[in-house]
Parts: sequence; C-alpha cells; structure tokens
Amino acid sequence: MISLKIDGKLVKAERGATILQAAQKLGLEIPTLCHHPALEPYAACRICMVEVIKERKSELVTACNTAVQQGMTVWTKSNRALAARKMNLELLMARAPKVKIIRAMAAEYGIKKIRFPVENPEEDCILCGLCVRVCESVVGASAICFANRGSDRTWSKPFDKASDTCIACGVCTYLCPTGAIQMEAETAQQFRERPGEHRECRYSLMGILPYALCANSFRCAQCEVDQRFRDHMDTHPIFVARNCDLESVSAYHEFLKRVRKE
Amino acid sequence: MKTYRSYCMVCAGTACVSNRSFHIKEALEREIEKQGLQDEIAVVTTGCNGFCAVGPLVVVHPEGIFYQQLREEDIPYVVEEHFLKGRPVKRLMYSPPGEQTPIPKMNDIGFFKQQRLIALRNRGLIDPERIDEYIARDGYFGLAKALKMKPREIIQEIKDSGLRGRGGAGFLTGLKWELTRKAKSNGGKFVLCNADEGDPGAFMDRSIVEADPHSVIEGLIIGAYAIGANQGYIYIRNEYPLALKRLIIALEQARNYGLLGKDILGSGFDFDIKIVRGAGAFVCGEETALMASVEGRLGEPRPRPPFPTEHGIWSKPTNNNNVETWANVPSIIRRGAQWYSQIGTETSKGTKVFSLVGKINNTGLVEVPMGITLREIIYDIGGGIPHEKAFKAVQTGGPSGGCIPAELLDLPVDYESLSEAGSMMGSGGMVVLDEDTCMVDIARYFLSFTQDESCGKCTPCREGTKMMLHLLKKITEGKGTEEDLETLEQLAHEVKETSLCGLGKTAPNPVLTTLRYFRDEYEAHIKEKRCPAHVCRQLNTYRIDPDACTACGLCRKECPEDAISGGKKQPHLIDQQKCVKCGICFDVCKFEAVCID
Ligand SMILES: Cc1cc2nc3c(=O)[nH]c(=O)nc-3n(C[C@H](O)[C@H](O)[C@H](O)COP(=O)(O)O)c2cc1C
Ligand code: SF4
Ligand code: SF4
Ligand code: SF4
Ligand code: FES
Ligand code: FES
Repeated sequence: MISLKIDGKLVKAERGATILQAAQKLGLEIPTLCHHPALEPYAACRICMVEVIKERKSELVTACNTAVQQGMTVWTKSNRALAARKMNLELLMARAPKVKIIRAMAAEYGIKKIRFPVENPEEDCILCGLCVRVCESVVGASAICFANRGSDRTWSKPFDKASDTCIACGVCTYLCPTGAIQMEAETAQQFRERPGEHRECRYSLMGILPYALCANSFRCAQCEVDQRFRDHMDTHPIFVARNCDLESVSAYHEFLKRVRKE
Repeated sequence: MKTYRSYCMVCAGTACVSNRSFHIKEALEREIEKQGLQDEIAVVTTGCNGFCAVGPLVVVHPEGIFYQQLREEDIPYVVEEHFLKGRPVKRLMYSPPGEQTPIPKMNDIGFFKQQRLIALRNRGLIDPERIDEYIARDGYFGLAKALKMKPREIIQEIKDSGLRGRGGAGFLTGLKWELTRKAKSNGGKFVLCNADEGDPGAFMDRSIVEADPHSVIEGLIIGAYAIGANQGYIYIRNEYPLALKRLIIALEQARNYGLLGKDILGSGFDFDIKIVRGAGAFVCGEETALMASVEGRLGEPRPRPPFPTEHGIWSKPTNNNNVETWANVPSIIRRGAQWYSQIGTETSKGTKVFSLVGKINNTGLVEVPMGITLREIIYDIGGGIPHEKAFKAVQTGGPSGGCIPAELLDLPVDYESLSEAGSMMGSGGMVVLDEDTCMVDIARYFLSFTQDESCGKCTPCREGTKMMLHLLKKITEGKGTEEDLETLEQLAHEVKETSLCGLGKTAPNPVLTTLRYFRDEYEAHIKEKRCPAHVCRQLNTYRIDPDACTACGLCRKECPEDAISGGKKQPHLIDQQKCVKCGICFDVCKFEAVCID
C-alpha cells in the first residue's frame, strides 16, 4: 500500500493505482471525459489535470493515468489545475458548443464567454476516443477508427465503408459522452437486409446467449430479450460478457448519469 | 591497401549530389586517367562535409586543399595544374565573403576551424560504402573492447562520460541504458535508433547516416550488448534515399564481417538490426508514436509512464536513442569516459551537431563542443549575417524551439542555458533571423508547421494550436486586440502545460519566447497597426516617392485594383482607398520608388 495526501487528506492506495482511483476512494471528484475504468487510460481530453507536488516541485499531471507514489501530495482544485481545466473546456466549447456535457462542465467552471471562433456549431464529437477504444479492446470488433490528423481528425469506419465487423452491441453509443455516434442503429439497419440464418441476435453475437436468431427485426428497444438484460444489469451487457471489473465500471456510470442529468 | 600520392575526396552528401558531384567525380577519373595519374591519385566519394552552401566540393588529402563550387569544366584544369604541375588552383578555393584572399586548406577556414568532430569524426574522410575504410579509422575497435567488458562496466562508462540524448530532451544515456538493462522482460528487449528527423531544415541525422553509417551500427551493437537486447531497429524516414541505401549496404557488410548475427566476434552474443521506414509524419519522431509505428499501428503518442525502457516495442523493454547519441558511443568506449567528459560544460558533455540555416553566410552542418557561445557559432563559424544586415534572433531547437535575441548572443550553448532562455537544444536546428524578420510573423510561421503536424489526439494541442494560429493570423493582419494578446499568452501557457506529448508541450515556445523578448513588436501590430519589419503586408502603407518615380507606369499596369494613377512624365500616385496592400507595386518597381511607410 502507498500513502499519499490528496487535498490535504491522507489516503492509502494500492501500488499501481491512479490518482483518479485514489481520489474516488476519498469521494473527491475529478472531472474526466476520455476515461473509462474498463479501458486503458488514454489521457487525451486533459480535463482531469491535477497539481502534484514532488520534491518541492509542482507539476500538472493527468489524474486518470498517473500512478500514485509514496508521499505524494496532490491538489485537485488548485488554481493552476483549475486554470488548465478551464482552458481545455473553453477549447472544447469552441469545438462542440452544443454538447450538453461540455456546456454543463463549462458552466460549472464559470466559463461565460468563448474567446475562440466556432468552426462548426453542429459538431458533437469531442474525440475522447471512448467509442473506438471500447470497440477495439472490449468488444474486439474494431469496427470504428479515427481518420485524418490534427484538427481534421474524426471518428470513422475503416476505409469509410459500412462496417462488416460491427455486432450492433451499442456500447459505443452507450459510452459516448455526447451522443455523437449511432453505430447501433446503422448496423441494425444492415442486419435487417441479411438472409435468414445470418440474422443473429446481438446478444448471441456478444456471446451472452447461445446462437439465436432475431425475431423482432432488430428493434432491440422493443424487445423482451433486451429488456430482460437491461433490468438485470446496471451496466452495458458487453462489460458483463467480457468479464470487465464491474465495480469500477458502475462507479463510472453513476458519475456519467449524474453529469448527463445536470 | 594500396597507397596513393593524393586522395581526392569528392563530397557525395545529398546536397553535393544534387549539385552534380557524381559528374565531378566522373570528370576527375576521366582526366586523371588521361594524364596517366591513375596509380598516383585516388578518387573517393564521401558523405556530407557540412559546408553544403559552397558545394559541390572536393578536398585533396594529405594537404587538405579545399575546392568549392566546382563545375565539370573546371576539372581538366585542376588535374593538370594541381596533380601534374603541383600548383593548387587558387581561383577554385574558398574566400570568406567580402575578402579577396583565398584560404587553401580546409582546416584554416573559419567554418571548420572551431569545429570538434566526434559524431562526425569520419565525415569527408572515408567512403561510407566501404566498411574497411571505417575499420581503418579505428572503427569497431570500440565494439571489440566492449565485448571484453562486463555490461555493467559499459553502462558505467557511458554514465561517467555524461553523454545525454541528442534527440531532444537530453536524458542521460547511461541512465536510460541502466533502466532498460534492469527492466524485467518475459521475452527479449530491444534497442532502437530514432532516425526520423522530422524538423524542417534539420539534417544532422541524415548526414551522420550518409557519411558514417557504421558509427551508428557500432553504437547500437555496443548498446544492445550492454542492455541485453538481441534485436535492434533503425526507424528512418523514407525521404532519405541515400541514407537508406548506405545503411542497407553497411548492415550487409557488417553481417559479412561477423559484426552482426550469431556469436558476434566469437563472444557468444547474438544481435541483428532491422530497418523500418517511416512515412514522414513529424509526430512519429516522438518515441511512443514511433514505437507504435514500428509495430504497424497508428503513429500516435501515448501517455508516459510507462516509459519505453519498461514497456516499449511489443510491450518489451526498449532503449531508444537518437542517431547522434548512438554515433557518439563507439568513441566513448574506445577513448574512455574521462576523455569525453573533459569536453563541454558541467552539465552538458561532449559535442553537438547543429544545422545552421537562415540568414547566415555559411549555411551548413557543424559539430561544436558544448558550451560554445551562440556568437561563436553564428559569427566565427557561420561567417555572420549576409548583406551587412543586423542579427535579430536565432531560433534553436527546431520548429518548437524558441527565438533567442541578440542580447543573449553570448549564451553558452548547453541544455540548461537554452531552456532557461525559453528555447531548447531539440535536435540541433538553428535558424538565424536578421533585421528584416517580423517576430510575430515568424511565430505564426513555426506554429503553422506544428499545428499542421499535430496528431489530433489531445485537446490542448489539437484545438489549442489551431486557436493560437488563428490569433497570430489576426494580429499579423492588423485585426488583433489587446485582449487577443492576453488570450494568446494564456493559451500558449496552458497548451505547454497540459499537452500529452512533446509536440504540444513545445509548440508554444516560438510564441512564448517572441512574447518575452519582442513584445514591443506584438504591441506595434496591435496598438499602432504597424509591422516594424514591414513583413505583414496588411499593415503596410504603400506610397510612391515622386522624386524617384520615373513614370515608367509599370506599377500602374501591374496593380490588380487599378489603384495607381499617373500619366507620361508624371509621378504616379497610389489611391489608399483602393489599395488592397498586395505589395505588387513594391515588388515590380525597378527604381525603388515605391516605399513602405
Ligand atoms: C514531436 C516530437 C518529434 C520528435 N522527433 C524526433 C526525431 O525526429 N528524432 C529523434 O531522435 N527524437 C525525436 N524526438 C524525441 C524522441 O521522443 C526521444 O526523446 C528521443 O528519440 C530519445 O533519444 P535520445 O535520448 O538519444 O535523445 C521527438 C519528440 C517529439 C515530441
Ligand atoms: S455497436 Fe458496433 S461499432 Fe459500436 S462498439 Fe459495438 S461493435 Fe463496435
Ligand atoms: S463519437 Fe463520442 S465516444 Fe466517439 S470519440 Fe466522439 S465523443 Fe468520444
Ligand atoms: S499595393 Fe497592390 S493594390 Fe496597392 S497600389 Fe500597390 S499594386 Fe496596387
Ligand atoms: S480523463 Fe484524463 S485526460 Fe481525459
Ligand atoms: S553535401 Fe557536400 S558538403 Fe553537405
């Protein structure tokens, strides 16, 4: 066990735990946009910045991927950390001004005016990479990817064609903090055009059910099977199917639910 | 080996080759044969000599006579005069700008005199395509010595030498080796050579590989042995065909000599090197992106830690060093840490290769001891600023370095001094700027490069550099406000603080240093709507001097807006209401009658 101090409070965390995990143990909230406990840290949104004091030197780091160290002092709400978060939120506001979660966070951080030009007021993807990563590392389908470099980067499908590996599990839509990705619906439409024996239920594609055909024309929302899973799981079924660490996953969804409501 | 009376070393670096140095070589061989001198005079092709500005060039040894800007027509005369009659040809020698007396010998020329060659010690002296010439200059002696040492001793030697990484951050090389050696692995470790060199205008790594590929290979073998790696990779950009070709030849020759492969020199140590070609994205020079690219994945940086020394290529411990870092290793092992650590300053040991470009007389590649001042590099070696213009600043460290002003010309060049000045060593690019440069415009220029090369993964770099560029454009167009300046400074600060990889962390440097040293220029653009260097056209007012105007009418004809009036023998006049400030009149007037207010 490693002991450290966060916002003045002493906490013990396991070796290899992140600052974010240690802070959550204390009930301290550090905002995140690109992090999900079932995925490897990506450290791209740069919203979870905190200030760390090590050997009398202060440094800004991302809480989602920085491991705790013995004797470390962390400040999650120092002026320096807040200023950094605020600037990155302002930049995200200029990118995707209508996205609810960004607006809510910006309001929380007291951002009133966006000093940068808005290129596309309809933009809704903040490039957090959750969709691409979950599809690759949890689903194992790699049905989506990123295309282009720099400020032209977008999420896309390999070779920009309809995906033939997507299983319509919908976890990308489920994780997307902004509602920018709707692969599930798109793939369901393709499934409907398939011949009989290929009209497999997404739950059997996920490996939760044995081989079963869809009897409901892929209208999952109105389906009994789907309803049953939703009633019994407080997370997306794919995480259960792939044996993800559920405790931490649900903590994330609690957080997401709350932010979305606000 | 057969010996000759004289050796004609024809430069076959990229710049000289594009200046037809292979034709010079053929002409030399032809003429030498014609004069029956083929048993007395040898013609050898070498890598880049560094003084590319005066190429194509030939150095005649043993005297070291330096011929420059040669043309094929000059060759019969040179062969007859120099080799037959023993009279070196003065007219083809180098004279410093503004001077008449030529300097016959290479080592007397200011450009070469103050250089100290370690990484480039074989440049111009050997044919890079022949391993025997490398060996004749003590090549692979370091390796032979290392294989008799314990890995721990080699690492200690590198640590004691004080060698620091030449690829950017200046991390202690010996320490990195030690970390990789100590890292646990469940199946092998790797050594990696970063030859991506994406900085525009930089060509030190290319030059080392072209002039002396075996020095890099020898360094890698020594490192691999010390670290306990059996596989090495050299990641080199595909736009370096000559370097690539020489590397392939060198690897093949090293294998044939038993220097690579199984049981190297009977030591029981196995090691080989693969070449991986990079597609030329700047960000792929960042080591985590580079390693992803080696594995065939998207070249995108990932957070560190975990560091490559623990978690590198295929998740195995990987020791990555820059080309120049590796090229220093054989000499350190051969001559000892003691010898190496005497060169340089307290914290920065040895030498560094710089590429000198921009507004400077002697553009080229130089290797100098650490601690030399910027003034010595720019004036003594670089020959100062052309056309008697004043020096304004030097941008060190590539597109994401900083601009260092004239007040700091006596700054000793080492890692710490450069970063205290707001810039960095980077990979060793130096762009000299003269009084005609607008510092706001130059910041915009460098930022447009880094913005374009951002991979787009993290928010501050992707969005932040775009907005910084937007604000800089606004200021150079005369539309900037004081609030914009404040936003720019704040944004630059946060992008530097919060970006994921070195690209975003350093991209704001040109903005931050020009704000620090040349703030008055930003203010002139904003408050007075004036560009002091007259570079930002939107801020210029064009006017015709009636005394100088000859009424030739050229500007009137060329003006796209018909903003210029005037008849025969009548001084012309610009209608400021119509003028769109394109500057065409200024460029076309032959009588310097159009002036900028
Ligand atoms: C955007 C970016 C580009 C880089 N490009 C190069 C490069 O072209 N060559 C290089 O050796 N290092 C480059 N680096 C530095 C590498 O990440 C790494 O630090 C270096 O190769 C380590 O070698 P060294 O310790 O020998 O310097 C780059 C870093 C960044 C952030
Ligand atoms: S719905 Fe398709 S694209 Fe989305 S995560 Fe599932 S398999 Fe991947
Ligand atoms: S579509 Fe959604 S989940 Fe995917 S990168 Fe964009 S914002 Fe993130
Ligand atoms: S600056 Fe351009 S528009 Fe103005 S007078 Fe000259 S040519 Fe014409
Ligand atoms: S949550 Fe840490 S960088 Fe996005
Ligand atoms: S290529 Fe000949 S001096 Fe550089």
